[in-house]
Amino acid sequence: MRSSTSSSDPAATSTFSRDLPASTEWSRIVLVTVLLAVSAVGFREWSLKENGIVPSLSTQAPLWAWQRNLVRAAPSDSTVVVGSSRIAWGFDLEEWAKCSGEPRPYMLAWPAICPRPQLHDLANQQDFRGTLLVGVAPGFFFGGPDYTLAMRVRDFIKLSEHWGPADDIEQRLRFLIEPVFAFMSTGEASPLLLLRERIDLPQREGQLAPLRDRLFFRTDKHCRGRLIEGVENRPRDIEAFTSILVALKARSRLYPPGNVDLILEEVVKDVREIHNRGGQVIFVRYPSTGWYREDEQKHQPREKYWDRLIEETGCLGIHFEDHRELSGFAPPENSHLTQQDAITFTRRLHNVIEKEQSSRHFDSPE
Amino acid sequence: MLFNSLTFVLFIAIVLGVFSLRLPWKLRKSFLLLASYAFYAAWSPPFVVLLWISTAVDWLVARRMHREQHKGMRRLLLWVSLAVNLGMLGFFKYGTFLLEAFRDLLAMVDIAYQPPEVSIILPIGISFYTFQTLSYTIDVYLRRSEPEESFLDFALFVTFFPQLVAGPIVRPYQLIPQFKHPVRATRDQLFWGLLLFTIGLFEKVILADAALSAISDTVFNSPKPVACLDAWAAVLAFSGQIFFDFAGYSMCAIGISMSLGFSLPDNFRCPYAAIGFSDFWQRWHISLSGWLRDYLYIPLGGNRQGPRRTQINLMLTMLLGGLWHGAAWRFVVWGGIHGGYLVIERWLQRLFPRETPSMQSLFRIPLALATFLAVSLTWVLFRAETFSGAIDIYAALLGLHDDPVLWLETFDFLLCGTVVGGMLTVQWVMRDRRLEDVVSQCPWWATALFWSTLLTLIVLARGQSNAFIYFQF
Repeated sequence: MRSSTSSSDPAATSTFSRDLPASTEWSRIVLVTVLLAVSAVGFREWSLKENGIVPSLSTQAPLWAWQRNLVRAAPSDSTVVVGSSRIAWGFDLEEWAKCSGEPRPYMLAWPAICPRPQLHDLANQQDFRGTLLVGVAPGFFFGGPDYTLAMRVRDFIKLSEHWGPADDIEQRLRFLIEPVFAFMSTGEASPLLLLRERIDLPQREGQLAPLRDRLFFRTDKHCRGRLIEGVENRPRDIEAFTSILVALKARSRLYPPGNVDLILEEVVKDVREIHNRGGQVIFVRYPSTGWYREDEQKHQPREKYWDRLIEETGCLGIHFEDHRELSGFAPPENSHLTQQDAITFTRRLHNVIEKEQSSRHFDSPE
Repeated sequence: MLFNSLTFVLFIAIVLGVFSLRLPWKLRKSFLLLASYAFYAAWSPPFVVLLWISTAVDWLVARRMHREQHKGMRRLLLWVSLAVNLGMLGFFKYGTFLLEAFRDLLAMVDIAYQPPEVSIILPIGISFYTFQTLSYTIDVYLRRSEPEESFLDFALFVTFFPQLVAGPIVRPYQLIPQFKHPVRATRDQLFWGLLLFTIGLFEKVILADAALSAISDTVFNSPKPVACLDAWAAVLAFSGQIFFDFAGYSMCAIGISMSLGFSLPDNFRCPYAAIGFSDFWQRWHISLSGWLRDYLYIPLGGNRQGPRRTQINLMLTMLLGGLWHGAAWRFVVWGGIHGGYLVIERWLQRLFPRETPSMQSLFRIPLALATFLAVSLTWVLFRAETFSGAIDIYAALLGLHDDPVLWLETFDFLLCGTVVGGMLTVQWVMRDRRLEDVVSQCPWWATALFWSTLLTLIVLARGQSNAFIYFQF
């Protein structure tokens, strides 16, 4: 579509200018436009809230980068949590602070990412000598370098390193506005998702399981995620959530698996770096159950992955199966703890770590 | 600062407010300059220094060059400007690429060389403002224009925020004269500008990002070979995405300028309705094509030195045009293919010189579709991250992969078909029309309905937006 200009060249004497539409009734147009747009957005907001959609910060890279930069400025002995969704939604920052009597930890765990680049990033932060809790969801933690979904965390890290004033202002504005308006939440509020779900079309045979952008969690400004309230009591939500996990699993299989020897070599190097500065790294394996647990055991059997990780890094490793108080949880879709369980699990995890630390002495690997 | 951000909404509200105050013209221009520096610094403050260097060097060089009568000295001054501007561009944009090319060259004669690993950040928009300032110096050198008297006006020409980071690449004669007299947007200009801005934002936020980007990203980022249908959908989706992304940005820039009372030239004129490649390049990224034509193709001899030399000139221009888009051989090849298209087109025009108008009109739509298809195929090199990735997609387009992955849902095909089909239809209908005329002929309520629909969709889909593709160039 072209719009018009009175073209000129260097030799021309007239000033370059664009034409305008002829005699348009702008006052009426603008008034009606604003009225219609405000009404439409207002109606959408009302209808989303009527349907139980709670406003949330959009779970996008800038929120993570903001939090990462807070860690850079934080006291060097801070506690930081990295990992993927299980620990992001299953670790309650307030509960941990209450149990430990220390300031609230920093949450850098994020849905569907590999925590290894995060570990490496913190190992390179020369003044970090605090406690690093690393959530290990085997599919993501041991993912190969080409697993783009999990490795997008590298872009997050880059964004945090190149964080400019515009990013800062944008994030502050988001903190102000997003918690108020449901239509700004990503996921459920997306009109495209609505269309996609309403138009039921036959799929091709052999097509990958569809991945819907429906989010079953909410994130606050501290990057702390929580499963939405009562999801465990809604079978349709559990079914939809499970279908997301199935779709993610199917996609992850397309990528070449990570070389566990190389992965452990890098992890050991990063752990050693943090240990040498006086920090500590604790690996935590959150509960998974049912088909998800079986799938993990099939593709990343504990003895070949988790046990080697703990043995070769020499770090404290807390596996839910090894502690009675950490097992017995029932994630509604076999992978993530409910809001209430997250609080209970965090309290128990703190107690277990305290107990383990007092009874064992860990050296950094040689 | 992205146009599609809350920060920009705040920024432009302040700029429009302050710029409309009844203050002396020089003060308002100074404010606009400061706002432009703030706009650029909001991304990364240190890189404003590059803008200052470019502004100061070209300002001083042009003035000295104009006074200087000695031919050799004038040439030396031109070289100073070229060295500073292209030197910065070369270092920041092509540093790593050149080092790697040097390594590969040495490897060909069995010399092992590993360049040091350097992480160079590309200053946003450097390719755009470098070409813009170069056109000023070259014009003064060629005595096509006189150097600018006012440093403030020149600095504003280099830095004018609406088009600073992704064009249109404006020529001095198009913008500087507009700074000479007090400008205050009329009510018509303000609202027309805001409507253009909304259309641009809609193209970017809804059509490029929300509708098309996921389709092309999914397929182009696939770790395994994809199915034929998926590849076609992804290629067409990317053709739409890159158009809406870049044309959307240009439209936003034109709209913001208009709402301040300034005019910027068109950068796109329904390029996918082009009939032939020469026509395409007169409609796609017009400000860059014009720049390359005036400062590269014509100085090389243009079409004045016989068919063979014309072909070489076309090829050289397109190869460099390709390299302008990115520091990778893929972009050079992309430019080369477009150069090849233009050469073949000229050859065909010589072969069939006497087509009747009725024949031409009969083939207009098929020829436009063929042009679109040929251009779309070249975007594969643009979007794929490696040559092997591009080859995989080409193979998929031909259905050569066994057991490919079927990524896309039926809905994705429907969405892609609707958006790309709609885009082609609208561009064909608007091919020889002006948006201003269409709006003039519309009843007021239709314009209001159209505008409010775009606005509502932008607001509702705001959370899913990305940076503009052309920022990387």
